[in-house]
Amino acid sequence: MKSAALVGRLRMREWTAGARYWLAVLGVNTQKTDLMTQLYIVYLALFLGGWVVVSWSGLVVTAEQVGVGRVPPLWPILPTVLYGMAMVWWAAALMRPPFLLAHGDLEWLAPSPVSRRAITTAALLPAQFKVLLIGAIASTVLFGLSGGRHLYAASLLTTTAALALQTLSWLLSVSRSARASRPMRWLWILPAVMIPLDLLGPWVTTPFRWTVAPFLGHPLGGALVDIVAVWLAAWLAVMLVAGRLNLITIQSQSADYAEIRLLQQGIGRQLNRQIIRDWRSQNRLRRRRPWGNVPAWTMPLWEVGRLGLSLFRMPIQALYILETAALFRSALFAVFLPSATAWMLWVFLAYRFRRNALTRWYHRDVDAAFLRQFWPDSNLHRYIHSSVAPLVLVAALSLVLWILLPLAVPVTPLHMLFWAGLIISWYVAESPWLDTTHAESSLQGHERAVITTGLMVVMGAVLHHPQSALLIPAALLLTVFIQARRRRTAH
Amino acid sequence: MTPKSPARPLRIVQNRWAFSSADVQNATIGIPCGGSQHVVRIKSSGALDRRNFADAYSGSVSKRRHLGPRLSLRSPTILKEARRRDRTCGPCYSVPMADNDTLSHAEGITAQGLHVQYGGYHALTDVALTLPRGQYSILVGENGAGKSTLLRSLAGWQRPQKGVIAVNGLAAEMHERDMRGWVKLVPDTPQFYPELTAWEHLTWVAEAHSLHSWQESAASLLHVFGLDSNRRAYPSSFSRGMQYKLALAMTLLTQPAVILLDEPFGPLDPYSQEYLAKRLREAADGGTTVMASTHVLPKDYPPDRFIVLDQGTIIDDVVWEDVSTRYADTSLSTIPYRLLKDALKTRRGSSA
Repeated sequence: MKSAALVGRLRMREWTAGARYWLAVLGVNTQKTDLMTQLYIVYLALFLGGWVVVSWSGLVVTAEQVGVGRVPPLWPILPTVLYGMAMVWWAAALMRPPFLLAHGDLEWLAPSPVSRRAITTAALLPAQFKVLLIGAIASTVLFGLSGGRHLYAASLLTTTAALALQTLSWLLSVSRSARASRPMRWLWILPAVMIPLDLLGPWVTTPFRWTVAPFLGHPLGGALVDIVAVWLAAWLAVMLVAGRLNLITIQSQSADYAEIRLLQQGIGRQLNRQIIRDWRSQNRLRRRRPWGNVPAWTMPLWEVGRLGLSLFRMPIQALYILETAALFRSALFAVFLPSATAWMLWVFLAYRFRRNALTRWYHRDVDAAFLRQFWPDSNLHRYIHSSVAPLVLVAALSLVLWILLPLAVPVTPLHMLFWAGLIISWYVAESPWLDTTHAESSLQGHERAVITTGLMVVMGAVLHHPQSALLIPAALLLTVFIQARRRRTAH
Repeated sequence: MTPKSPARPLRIVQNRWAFSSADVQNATIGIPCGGSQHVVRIKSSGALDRRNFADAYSGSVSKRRHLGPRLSLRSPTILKEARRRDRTCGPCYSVPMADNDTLSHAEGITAQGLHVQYGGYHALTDVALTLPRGQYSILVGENGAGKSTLLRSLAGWQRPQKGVIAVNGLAAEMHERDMRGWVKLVPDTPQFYPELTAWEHLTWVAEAHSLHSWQESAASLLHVFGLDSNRRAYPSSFSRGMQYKLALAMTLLTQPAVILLDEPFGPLDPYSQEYLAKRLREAADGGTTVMASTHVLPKDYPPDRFIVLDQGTIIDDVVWEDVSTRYADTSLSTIPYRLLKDALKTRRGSSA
């Protein structure tokens, strides 16, 4: 209990510090404790709480209205979905430690004789709270879409089942990390290969039918008691096994996580996901033996060899290239759809997921001052050399996707022209030549690319004249041309 | 170092080992394991009778493919009792007993066949090391020689790909929780909880280690490190040297059996360097095992031993008597450099 109190106090301090940060963001002077400040905090809490409740209920009512008569009942497939989710969850749990430690915990909590059960409980409770929130929102919306029958009973059962499944996944993960020696690596295959088992018959998903008991005419209480019993048993088992948790395993795998958390503290709590992805990707690379060699080709071809090797060694970069290609393919789909509003979703996706897929190599060469000195050519030449190969690859891939994917956009000269304009816009908008002299006020390459290609898609979709959208790449190219001339004159 | 023959008779029955209750009082037992022996020391106390010990110490000797020969001990009773006593009077079931020669190798920390690799980079290659109880060692090596990796592995912060580490005769992997009570590492850039002040860090560490009457020691440590006026400040506002001092204060407060320090003298001012060297010397004389990686040494308080690491391998291991003879005309502060230079010259030839 003493260990639990110690860890609890630590976590409470962290939570309080986080709360103070967000209160300061919302305009609360956290240094003051006067009545008005406290009233303002109460007002904020009531407002945010009310906003969450109203939004949630609005979401559920909208889901019910949308779902009535349109969406078939979802409850018959729910046991299968839960079964699949459990297997994926458990496979993931058998691949990694149950929790990771940030700096501070790594240096002072883990090397202390504090009970492992207390550390595990302090990590499991917030995880369960997240699942409780997500499960409650998702299940109410899903059952709302199904017509709203047994909405709250079924949502309660489903959320409790999700909590139990998560606790069982923790049991697996804690058991895996409780070995004195290195944890087994391939255990995750077992739940993964069990996913197709549900094709064998309904008996596989029988335990998951508790969640749809109200639809089958069974009493809510009985099903709830069964699920809660499983949940509590899983908790008990986690606590028993957690006493033997081997923290060497946790510490060995926490280094990347701790560094990312440290970055978040330094930069701000909303760290760019791209930075995190790059960080993870680099660390993953560092842990592997290097594959292959850059071919000893002369310069223009050397860039191609470098790109090929980078994609081979860091497959995540290849994924970014593929994503960008798919983005241009989906832009064609959005602009030629009968519904003109599809461009909104497209712009959102473009902003959210892809960053500098074409210019990544250029930024690596130029952003690091040390590396920049080994590239004697101008920024313009460096940009062209390092980005033409990915550009060609993205264009070729999106063309292949265009032809292969059975979506109703024919390959005609008009469409081809629009597609080429879209790629050129993106490429030019990401270019460094569009930077203004006041660098701090200029938009980043990714945002510029999203805005310009978004404008193209909007013009094409709204005006139903894709030809007029071609004005945008034309204007961009003209701008770049003028800027390049000015710079040459200045030099 | 190979342990001596078992001091007490040992019976092995179907891959399990057992011993008669008459042998368990203050006994030292060698357990054959993979061609060598593990030595287990048992100290009885009034809290445990002989039957308890005999019940507690039943285990099996197993061989693991990657980790080499290991001893698997299942001793819940004795460990529980030891933990209870650890909380009140330190790791007392590892105190030396009658036969010091037999025990010396089991005291302190031992590593065998350590191998650590990051991708294609070999940080440690087949490192074997024994740091006896009460020894003050200095780890010397170039940048990237594997010093920090070795210290992190010894502290249980990192799992080596191969090899075994034992602390006070117990396999670290099997008894990692006990080990963490005994071994403390201060990394070259210690990190802290951003929400806690310096004094709150000390409070937390003291409570986590169940220390009693620690306030005076903590205040004294803060005073000598020049941090007493900043006890209510956040460590993130400290300079690197101050952060290192706070980490040292937190470590010294717990009075661990093994102290591992990564570059301790570099960030410190000369006064604090001297104080730390004195404190480490005193700690070692009092039975604490100390190992510090460093490129500089304060003038006084010589260590007992120098270990030179190069590209993940120990290339020189000399005791202070030999070093002082070899470099009789050299100041202590330049000895790490001279030692490293000579060791590298021997290893790499005249190009070093």
